[in-house]
Amino acid sequence: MAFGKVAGSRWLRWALPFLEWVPSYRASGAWHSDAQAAVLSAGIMLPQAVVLARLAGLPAQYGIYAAFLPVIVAALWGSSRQLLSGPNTALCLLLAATVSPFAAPGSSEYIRYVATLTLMVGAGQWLLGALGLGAILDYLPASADLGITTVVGVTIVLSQTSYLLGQTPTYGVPAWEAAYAAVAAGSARIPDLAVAAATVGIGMLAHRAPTLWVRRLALLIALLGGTALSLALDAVYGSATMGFLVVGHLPVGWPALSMPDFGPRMLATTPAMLPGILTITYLGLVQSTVIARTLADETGQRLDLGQEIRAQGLANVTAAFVSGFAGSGSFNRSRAHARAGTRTQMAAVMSAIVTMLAATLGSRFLAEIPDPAMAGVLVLVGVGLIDWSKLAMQWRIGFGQAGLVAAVVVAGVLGGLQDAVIVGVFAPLVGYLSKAARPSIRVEKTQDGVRVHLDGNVFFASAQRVAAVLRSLGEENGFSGRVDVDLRDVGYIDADGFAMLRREQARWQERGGTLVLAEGVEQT
Amino acid sequence: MRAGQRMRPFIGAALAWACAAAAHAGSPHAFRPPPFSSMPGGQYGALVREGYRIFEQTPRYAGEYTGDALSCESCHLDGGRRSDAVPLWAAFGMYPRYQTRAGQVISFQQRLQQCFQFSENGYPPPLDSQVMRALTAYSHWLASGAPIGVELPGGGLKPVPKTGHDPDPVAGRRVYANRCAVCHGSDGHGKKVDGQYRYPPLWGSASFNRGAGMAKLPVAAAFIKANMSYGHADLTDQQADDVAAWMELQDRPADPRKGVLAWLLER
Ligand code: HEC
Ligand code: HEC
Repeated sequence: MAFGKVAGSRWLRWALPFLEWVPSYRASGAWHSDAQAAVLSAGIMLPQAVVLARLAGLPAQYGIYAAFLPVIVAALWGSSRQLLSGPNTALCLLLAATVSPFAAPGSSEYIRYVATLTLMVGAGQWLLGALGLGAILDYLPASADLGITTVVGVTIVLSQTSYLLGQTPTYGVPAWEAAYAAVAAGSARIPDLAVAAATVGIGMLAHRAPTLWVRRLALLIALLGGTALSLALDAVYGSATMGFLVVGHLPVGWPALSMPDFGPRMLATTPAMLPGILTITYLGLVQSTVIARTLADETGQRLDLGQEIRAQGLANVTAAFVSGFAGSGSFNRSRAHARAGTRTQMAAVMSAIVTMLAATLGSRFLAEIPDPAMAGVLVLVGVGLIDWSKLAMQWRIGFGQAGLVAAVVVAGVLGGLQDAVIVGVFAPLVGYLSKAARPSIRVEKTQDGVRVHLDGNVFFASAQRVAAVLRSLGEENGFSGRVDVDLRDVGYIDADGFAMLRREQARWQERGGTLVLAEGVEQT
Repeated sequence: MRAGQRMRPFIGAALAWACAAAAHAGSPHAFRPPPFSSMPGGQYGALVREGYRIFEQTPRYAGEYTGDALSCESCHLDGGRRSDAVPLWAAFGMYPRYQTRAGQVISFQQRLQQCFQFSENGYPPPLDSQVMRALTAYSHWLASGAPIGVELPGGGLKPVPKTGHDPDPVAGRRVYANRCAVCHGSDGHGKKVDGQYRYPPLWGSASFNRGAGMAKLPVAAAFIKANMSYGHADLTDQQADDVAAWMELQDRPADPRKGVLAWLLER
């Protein structure tokens, strides 16, 4: 416990929060269950790391690197004991959509763009956490989140269509258009279709298996099954006859240092990528915090959200330098990770190490994973994201809820994930505004005139409504006599509302009447 | 730049250069690819350079798709410039072309995929992969100014004329021991210097597979006749045939077009 005294310092605990639990980790006895969970989580992580890199437009080894050091950093610096970070479906789609207009996916330039963007995302997230602005993450209602997840699922399935059919994918068009083009081309390679179908089939069977660990590792089993089938076909017919495109020998090992690029070309394109960068920054944190909260609720852990946000930022800054890419907490992984008996963050650290080791030792096998098997796994991931029962529930809750989800889904599928996030954040705001813009207005006759009682907010959105009532009152009695406007129950007046009231007051004065603003507003 | 990465016997290189220059001088219509010094800048130039790197050191820069120790440069000499060693400048303008092996018209990129499947004993890079983009750009640059759809003198390989005698692998074995083993090793597995192949393997598990063009006797004979031994291409037609026949008898990875079944049946 030599650390005890130093760790006592508040500043040090803020900078290196893990000092609080790491020194006493050995004594805590969590090692055994953490290690067990780590192995299972690595089995879930490995196939995702490979296929999600593809989704982000990067070579497969980048997925493995993104699942290594950044995950360790997020775990050590994070507050949640069970959150498992790493590559994330939604962020991968956003990355690809943001960078691919400026560089060809997989090119060295693309990779540099991704590193730069990841650094910006990480720095932005860390700043949000350090400034204590985590509250803005609550602005995304659960139903919008549901819509976004659905969009991600649909987009993933659509984006894999060309791989399922064994065609070269089309870039730079929305996923539905690429899928349509692939289907309309009317050509499919039978071996690819067969392997894809087998992968999906095996995955679905494994997902319904009676044994728990089989269900948990369904994706890994599907990937193994699809690859085994392609190897069998290769063996029987010859690999050049089958012509599967495969992952290839991955140069995995200690991650290569990557350098974000702030050259003139990069700076020139940054403004155009900014909406994408902001969306990734925001959505990454929203997902991480939602998951961390849900898990903390289940275990009764007290969560430091600010610390969690800073940790996510730190993880992404790390990713930018170690050949990774922007990631966040992942729901399916964290859930399985927690259920497997994770007790501390050390499980995530070990899981990342096991993932890396498995990728290195199994690189001979990884090399043989064919495109259609990866596409099959992504289809399973995508379909798994679409939660039909929750969607149906929205419909039963009410038209407004269902409408929001539908708007997010339509925007996302047609315009891309970024549009879905924008609609998801702003549509509820508009809904809220339109409610708030209807203050209740009660008009009462009193002995010395009329009394107008306002209850609600007088601000830019409601000012016209209030003005109309006051004016019609004036027109009724020719702006004579006295009107008392009772502002006691007004919660909030902004500059627009105030200006409106003064305008109406002036109008009455001009015409010989009196309009008195009572309570809360100074009179001049 | 290349000399720094891969050292080569200086005299051999000088001689080769002299021979190539002489060959060029001999045929007035010989195409001259742009010199290295004129490599362009900008994004295109960066891609060309990347393609050149991959071409010179394929296992290092396109390791994902490479399954042996050979680089494109091992056979396409001088960075794909050397006449009568399947130069890229002559190949680029001939695509798309009909290929009997594939039974269809294939693009240049599809041809490159075959190089990886057979000569590199690896995996085909996807058409939209970076390796493919870079190699295509490099070939495109080497062929700057070359006519399209025209067979250029010095392109491909010059077939070895019929000698009237069958190729004799036993005689070839002697030729190999006398003329080739110094560089390619008595076991044909090449020679490494500082962990890197300086002389590429002609057979064995680190060489091209049975589906490669070089695995065909006439192709190998034509290559050897025009280019080997390195810098001293002075074998007779018969010796080239013989040593190619000896090479063909050696073990190498199986033809990936044939499955295990076909391979077993052949045995
Ligand atoms: C083992 C030697 C060898 C290696 C290694 C090799 N090639 Fe070739 N390549 C050949 C031969 C021989 C031919 C001619 C094939 C034939 O006639 O069947 C050829 C043909 C080609 C052609 C078509 C030429 C034409 O005129 O149609 C291209 C293009 C090509 N190679 C590119 C490459 C690239 C790129 C690489 C590296 C990835 C490579 N090759 C590696 C031996 C090799
Ligand atoms: C002076 C050394 C030297 C000698 C002698 C020599 N080679 Fe080579 N050979 C090379 C080098 C070097 C390369 C690769 C060229 C490059 O990388 O630029 C090569 C490439 C080859 C290749 C194509 C690459 C491969 O691995 O298949 C063949 C085939 C070949 N040599 C056959 C022969 C034969 C047959 C002989 C004997 C007649 C011979 N060589 C003698 C140095 C030599």
